[in-house]
Parts: sequence; C-alpha cells; structure tokens
Amino acid sequence: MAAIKFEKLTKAYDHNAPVIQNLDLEIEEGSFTVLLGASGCGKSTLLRIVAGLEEKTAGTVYIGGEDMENVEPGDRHISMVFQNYALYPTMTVYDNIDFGLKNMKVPVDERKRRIADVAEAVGLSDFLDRKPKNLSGGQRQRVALARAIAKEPQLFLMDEPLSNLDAKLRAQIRTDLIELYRKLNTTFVYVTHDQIEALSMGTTIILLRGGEVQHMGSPTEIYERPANIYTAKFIGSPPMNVFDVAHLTSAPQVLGAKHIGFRPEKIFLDKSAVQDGDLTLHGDILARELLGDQILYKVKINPVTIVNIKTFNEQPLDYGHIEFYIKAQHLSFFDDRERRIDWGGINEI
Amino acid sequence: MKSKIRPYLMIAPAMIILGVFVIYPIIYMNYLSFFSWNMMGSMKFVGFDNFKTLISNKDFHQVLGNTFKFVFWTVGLSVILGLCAALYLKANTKINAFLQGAIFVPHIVSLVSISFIWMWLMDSQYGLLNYWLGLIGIDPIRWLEDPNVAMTSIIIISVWKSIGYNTLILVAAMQGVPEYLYQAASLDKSPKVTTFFKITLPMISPSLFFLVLMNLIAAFKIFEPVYIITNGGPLNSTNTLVNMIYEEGFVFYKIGYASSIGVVLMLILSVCTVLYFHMLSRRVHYR
Repeated sequence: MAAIKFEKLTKAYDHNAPVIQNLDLEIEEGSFTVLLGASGCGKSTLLRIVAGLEEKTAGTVYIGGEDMENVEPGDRHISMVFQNYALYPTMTVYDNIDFGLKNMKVPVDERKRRIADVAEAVGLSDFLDRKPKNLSGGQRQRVALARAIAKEPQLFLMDEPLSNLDAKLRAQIRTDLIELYRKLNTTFVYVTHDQIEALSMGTTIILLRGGEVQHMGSPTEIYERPANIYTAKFIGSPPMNVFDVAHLTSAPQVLGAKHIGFRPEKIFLDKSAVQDGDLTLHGDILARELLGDQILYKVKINPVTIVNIKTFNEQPLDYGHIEFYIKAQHLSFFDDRERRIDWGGINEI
Repeated sequence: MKSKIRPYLMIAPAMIILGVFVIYPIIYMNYLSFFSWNMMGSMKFVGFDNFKTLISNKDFHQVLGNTFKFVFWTVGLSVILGLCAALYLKANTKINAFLQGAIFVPHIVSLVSISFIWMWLMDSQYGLLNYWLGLIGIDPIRWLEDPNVAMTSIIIISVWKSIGYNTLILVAAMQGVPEYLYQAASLDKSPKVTTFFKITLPMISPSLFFLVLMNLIAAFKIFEPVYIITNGGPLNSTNTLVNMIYEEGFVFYKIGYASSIGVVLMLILSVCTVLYFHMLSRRVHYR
C-alpha cells in the first residue's frame, strides 16, 4: 500500500497560476522519499499539503489509504521537522518533546520512557531542562528530531531540516538520519534542494519542476539514466555535459537523438584504456580547479561547445590541448523534446 | 581633563531637564510633607504630624480602599478584555485593521472630553444608557449618583478608554509570534486553549508584563474622570488618592498635608513596582 497517494492534486495560491496541477503520485510505504527541486518547484507546498498545513485547491490526498479531507494535522499520525525546527522557545527541551505526547494523551509513564529513550538516542539527555535559546544549532536540530521521533508516527515529514547547519554538521546529521531511517523502518518524506542530500539518503528521489514530476526513481537510476535533460543537468556536480548531437560528428548515430550527454566524472584521460566504440574528443583547457581529491577542467571542444571534466587522483594536466575519452555505455541521448532515448546499440549499465 | 568632562556635558541637557522637572519636585514634595503651609504664610515644620493625621483620617482609609478597588478592576478588566479583543483582531484583514483603529480612538481623545461624554451618557434622567436600558425593560440606574454604583461607572469609563491601547500593543505582540509555532502546535494535536496558554501567552509575556505595569501606574494616578464627573462623591465613594491630593492642596490649601498623601502614593507605586518585578519578571520569557 502506498504511504501517501495524490490524485489529481492541484494547488494554487489566491488567483495565481497553480504551482501544482493535476498531480498523480504515489509514495511507497517504508521508503525514504526525497522531494527534490529548485526553489519554487512546489516541493515544500506538497509536503505541507500532506501535513495539512496548507489547503489544497483540488484533488485528493491519501495517507495510509485514508482520505485526508477534513482530517486535522494533529490526527494524521505524522511528525514534521521544520527548516527552522519550530521549537517552542518558552519550553524546555523536555517540554518541547512532551507537548505533543501530552496532547495525544499518552500515559505519563509511557511519556517519560519515550522521552528518556529518544533523548538518549539523539544525545540530548544532559540538556533536557534547557531552553532552545541555550542550545547550539545542531542541538536544536536534534531536539526537533527527538520531538518527531517520540510521537512514533506513521510518517516522517522533513522540510529542509539541514539547511540551517554548517557543512560539517550537515554531513554528520545526514548519516544520523540514514541510521534513524533504518532503525525506525517507517516512511520518510524529505524535502530538499540539495542533490547530495537526496542522493545520499533517499531510496526514492522525486525531482520536481514547476509542480511536475521530472523523474521518479532510485538515486542510482536518476543519476545513471536521467529521464530528461532537466534531470540530467540537475543531478551531478558539475552537471551532465549535454549538447546538440550535431556538434559531435564522431558520436554513435542514434535514431531520433537530438542531444547527447555524458557525466564529467565518466570522462577518462588514459589513452591506453580506450576500446573500440569509445568516443574520443579533444579541446583546449580553459580553466582548471584543483579540489584536493578531484580536479575539474573546463574544456572547449569547438567554438560553441564546452565540456566539464572531473578526474580523481590524477596528476593535474597543464593548460593546453588535451584528448579525452568516454565509454559508449556512458553516453545518454535525448530526443527533440529533451526526453531520454533508450538506445539499444550498446548495453546500458 | 577635557575628555573626562565631555561625556557629562553630552548628557547634561537631559539630566538638567530630568532634575528640574522630576527629581527636584519629588524631593520638594517629600520636604513639604513635613511642613504645615497654606501657600501664603510662612512654612511651619511639623515633623510626622501630617502622616499621623492622615493615618487616623477615616476618609483617607476610604480613599485608599477606593483607589485599590479602582486599580484592581480597571487593570484586570482592561488587560483581559484587551487580550480578548487582540485575539479576535490579530488576523490581518481589512475589517480588523479598521476595528483596531476604531478601538484605539478613545486612547487619543483627552480624558476630559471623554469624561464629559460619559457624563451625558450616564445621566440618570436623560442619558443614553438608561434610555437603552429602558427599551429592554430595565429600571434606570443612577450611574453617578448612587454611592454603590458610582465607582463601577468610573471603572467602566476608564476601562473603555484603555482597552484600545492595550489591544493594539497585544495585537502587535501576537502578530510577532511566528506562524510556524502554531503549525508545530497543530501537528502536536494541541487544542486551541492549550495553544493559547502554552504558546501565545508565554510568547507575548514581555508585552503583557510591560502593559500591566503601565496600566497599574496609570490607574493609581486616576484623576480627571473623578474630578470632572463625580468630584469624589457621592459620599466620598469615588474619591481617589490624586483627587484627594488636589482637594487638600488646591481647594483647602493644605500643601503639606497634600504632599504627605503624594508621598504615600509614591511609596505605594514603588512597592508595587518592586514587588511586581520581583515576583513576575522571572516568569516572563524574553527571546
């Protein structure tokens, strides 16, 4: 059964054009689903509609098979972690976690046990009598998580919960969240604009653009076989190199292909590894960035085409003319409507 | 040397004004309270005689009682009603913006005008209030002539005047409570009443704390409606401390005696303020 199901969902603010129109979507039970997209794509709106914090304009939302029409947010068996955590500033950490449990009429002993457990799990046991203002950003974020976990919900909703943290903490809490997901075994719906978060944590990624699903699939699939150019260019850093196939006469001929694409990190520079059918390109290095474990090059292969290359653990190349290669199975082709073509010529990964 | 003087020179204008108009009058009032003086003849030192007379004066006991009664009901009602009005008006709609403005109007009108308006409204024979009561079959009330009712009438007038200001401050405070807290509360299945007492009230506590103190001080100093509408009557039932100071000082010219009442008022206010801060300030949540 789907944890969440949208049927012909439409959302418009006031009299403006809808941000989401006629969306049909199912989020699988027990999945860690990431709603990914640039700002304004409707991902937060979608999450808030699930939570009941936002009114939908039309359509139906089901949670656990149940129509959510007229169901109050508090009765949806969900927990939500807000971007700014939304901790109650006047309450202690203990009361912040306890507030929801008390309202849900959980018995006192049970409440105490849950709070002790959850505080232990997120490492807040020593901070239970502190107010949020006396906590660091990372600690607040953990209070928000603790508050969500203690309610033992059917569904976890998270609205960019890591975006207010510094990079180091973000990486740490990311792994904490993966652990948490594996331990709790419930459905997570996670909103972010950060592809690293999406790829690292999600079991399913839904890439949204203008309220429409661009691609829904596993992180591997979305990375390896993007459904369209938008997805190809959204995922990856730097994004996939995509250009008009007409600019590359040496590329394999694929019926209906208008665009060709390949990921910067799939490019290799070692000529001895080249096999039959591999694509060979050459051009001038315009810029070189040394990033420690990786090196980025910006290479101009013809007057209108620039290719990004990413290599790992190799000696930096000098500026000048270089030759580089791509395995045929790492090529993607897109038609004139920018949709992926599953070309049969060479086996895909 | 020059640099040491400069900061004092900078604050000198403010300090001089404060000294002349605030500190000196307070000291002088305390000084006067130990004298017998009718503003014309010579001042005669009488020690604590003014205070002794005051303490044994039955009228003063009544005035003190009246003042406390007035303060309790005026502050209580105007803050609680202000809170209710603010809860109703906090939603940002066009009608509410108008209503907020309308409810604020009494605050900007002079108390003297308000007193006259209410005097007419509460006139026992021709007043609008009794006319309305008559329409629904209630006997006319002697709003300002009945010693058992007159203080209530004064309280009604004062509450009516101060509600608008309280509402405005509290609406601003409530609108400052972030929306996401209410969203988090709704996800936490919080009933409306719980949300109010556990989230709204603590969040607006600094404003509320300030407002109660300001209302308290203003209420202790009530004068205009009493002087204009009832002049302390009937049977001293609406007389308050400041009205008594005025009477003793500028009607009977007992300046020393009036000053001693002023000293008592000052002491009451100081004690109230200190107690208030001591008891409540720790319960106020400052972000």
